Amino acid sequence: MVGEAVPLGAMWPLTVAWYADRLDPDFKPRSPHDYQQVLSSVGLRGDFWQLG
Amino acid sequence: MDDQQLRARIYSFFAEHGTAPSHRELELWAGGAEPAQAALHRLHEAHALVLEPGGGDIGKALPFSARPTDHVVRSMDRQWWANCAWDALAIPVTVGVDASIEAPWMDDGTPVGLAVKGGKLSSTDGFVHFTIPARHWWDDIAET
Repeated sequence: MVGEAVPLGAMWPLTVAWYADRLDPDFKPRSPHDYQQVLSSVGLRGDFWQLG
Repeated sequence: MDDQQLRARIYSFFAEHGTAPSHRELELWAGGAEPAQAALHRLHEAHALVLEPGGGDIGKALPFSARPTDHVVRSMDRQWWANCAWDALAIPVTVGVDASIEAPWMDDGTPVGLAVKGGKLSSTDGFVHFTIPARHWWDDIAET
């Protein structure tokens, strides 16, 4: 199967970190570096998960 | 209303109504048809929302989809369409509600039967499959 399968146990904290502030009227996308750290924090490292 | 305020109104509308605001609402908020279209295209370019290909309609404001999909999130009397499995998890987080997630597992098509309650996911059995490397997520957001 092409791609990567991420366990729900990692998806949930990733989702909370990525999306919890999306309805904030002052929401601004974080920097690629910050999003990369969010991915790393749940174990998503390696070439497939590099944002830039 | 500046672009940031318009973005916030669009997101609030999705959260409340489960789909995109109409052209009439957008024009009212932006002060006319031309300013509305110009603002939507700026927001699209800024990746704050996704316009339908070749048109001025809002297709997505991640994690929300303006159009029906196979990933449905329900909470009380509200429902939303998600663009993908990740977005189905993201909608209860974004809106801040308990919700059920109705979507098929990719491998056998059976219902996932997931729910979010009190900020927790009902089960961690299963996987979300990503087919596109992270660096290309915005190249074609419809397939991510």
